[in-house]
Amino acid sequence: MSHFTKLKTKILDKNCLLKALTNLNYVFEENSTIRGYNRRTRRGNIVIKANGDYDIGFVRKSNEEPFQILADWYGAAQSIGCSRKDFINNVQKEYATTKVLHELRKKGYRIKSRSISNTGEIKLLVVKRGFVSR
Amino acid sequence: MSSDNIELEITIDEKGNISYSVNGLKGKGCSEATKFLDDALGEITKRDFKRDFYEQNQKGLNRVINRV
Repeated sequence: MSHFTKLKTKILDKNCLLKALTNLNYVFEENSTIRGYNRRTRRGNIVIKANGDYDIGFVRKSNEEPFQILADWYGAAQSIGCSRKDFINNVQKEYATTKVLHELRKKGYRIKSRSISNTGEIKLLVVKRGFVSR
Repeated sequence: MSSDNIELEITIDEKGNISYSVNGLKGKGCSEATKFLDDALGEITKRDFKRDFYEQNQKGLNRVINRV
């Protein structure tokens, strides 16, 4: 019996998030201020310092919770050069890829093939030899 | 105890959600073998179990790999 599983990605691993943001060429600061409209600010665990007066932050109350994205999108979209939806999708996708590869390598999987479809879907085929099941 | 190859086909969609299928394991072993992915990534939204999937698919899969 095999199975097919769908997962909704939650951003839980800080190191993988930092790596994903680096891969996407974002400049960020840890434990910094998120700047919004009219010089209002919020604290962020990780803050992307974009061009302009608006920042995009990742916040969470405890290490067990997933990160939430916090920004004043009125100005942040312009600062970062893409819409809220595109930004969130890009970050989620890069994070998911980074995290999946990290976890697979830790478990000794080898990547057999990797491809990206026209619609931007990433496909991975991975294998682990001599798996011993109890 | 049995020794098998385990193969995962993973798709990450444009929103960063993940789907995968497992080939090469029988019975309960397949859910246990991929638990690390479920735990690491988030929340399971759908899971289907398929019987006799592996034997039929192995040949087709090899053809794809050879082309790559």
